[in-house]
Amino acid sequence: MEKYLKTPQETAQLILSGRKLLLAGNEDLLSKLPLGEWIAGTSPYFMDIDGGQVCQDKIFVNDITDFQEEISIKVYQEDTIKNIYKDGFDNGFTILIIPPYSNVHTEFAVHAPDYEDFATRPLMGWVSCYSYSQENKSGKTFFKSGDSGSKTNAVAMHVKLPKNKYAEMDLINLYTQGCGDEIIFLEDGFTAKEVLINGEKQNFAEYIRQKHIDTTLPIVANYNSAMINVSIDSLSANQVNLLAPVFKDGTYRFAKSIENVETDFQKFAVKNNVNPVFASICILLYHYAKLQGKQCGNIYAPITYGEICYQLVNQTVVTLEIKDV
Amino acid sequence: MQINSDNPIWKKLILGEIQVTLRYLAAKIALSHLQLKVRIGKNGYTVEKAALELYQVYKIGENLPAVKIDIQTFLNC
Repeated sequence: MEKYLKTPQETAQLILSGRKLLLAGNEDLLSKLPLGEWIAGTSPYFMDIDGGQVCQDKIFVNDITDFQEEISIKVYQEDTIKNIYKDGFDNGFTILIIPPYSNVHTEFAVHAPDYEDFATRPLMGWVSCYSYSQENKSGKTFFKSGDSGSKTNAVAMHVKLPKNKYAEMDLINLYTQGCGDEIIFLEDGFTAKEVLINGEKQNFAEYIRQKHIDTTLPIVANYNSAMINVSIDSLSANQVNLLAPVFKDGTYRFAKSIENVETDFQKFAVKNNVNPVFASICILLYHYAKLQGKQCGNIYAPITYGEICYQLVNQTVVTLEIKDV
Repeated sequence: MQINSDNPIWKKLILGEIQVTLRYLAAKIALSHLQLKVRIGKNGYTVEKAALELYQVYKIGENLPAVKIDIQTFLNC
């Protein structure tokens, strides 16, 4: 089986031969790539056939040329990202890469469910990433050429499939809602101060400290049996900072505790038995499940700062398979 | 699609009047947001508007196996 991580020279050759590519890698490498049909985001973390790894001298390549009928590459900003769903092909899918901490990131995360045609077409993708040890948190996106690097543009590849194929997305989530307190947020967004805990108003940061809650566990909302995680980024004196948005009046609970994330995740990934053409794996799983040097079933993917499965989610693996009708 | 946009099933799903296990991931996510919007009256959402949007999620994906399974489930309700 061929590796997904390729040298910059191999990647450039694929681009120059007209291949249609989804790329992830180091900013310096991406910025030297030639003009072609590709989009990319920065990330130093990958899951390749030889396991999870940090790699700064190769580019992770998903080549979608052989199963697409047509593609359209578009750039989105805060005022245009609302068109992401309606710009997609009816039979196809869209891959979206968003730079972290940008206006378009916040806009998409908080408002995607309000966009015209929300969830009518498969939309997956990821938030571009930086090294955990890097002080300057500057994930970038690229489209079509090495000089397009941006901290503010979201980039998308809309892919049309032939009539005899369809795209199927899945959300692989080790976590489920626990049976602890019911948490209701009073505002949409990436931060929370006052929340309702079992109907009583309380400061969320204080509540977490008082209860000694393990903040490596996400808070989980049950979307008609699809478990959607929101991860805790940090706690300040009176505020909880989150890695995906919570939605006002939605019901959340902390995830059920997992005895051994490392071994459970391995079993879970194999059990799901998917063979995706494209996937993204959350950086928190890489760290909490200690994925360095380990496999993730048949999933080979960039490891990212947030996954897109119709909306922004955390601490999951999002996969996209192409199947025959 | 076997179920038209004006079929009462869509409103019943939005209002939680029928409980079914959905197979189509897009619909699970969309339905949850639509149910919440109707419950809190976000952006003036009505049951009718939400029902039509849920129908559209299924209509555009009508050839997908998971959609076909859900539609069959709705027909058996």
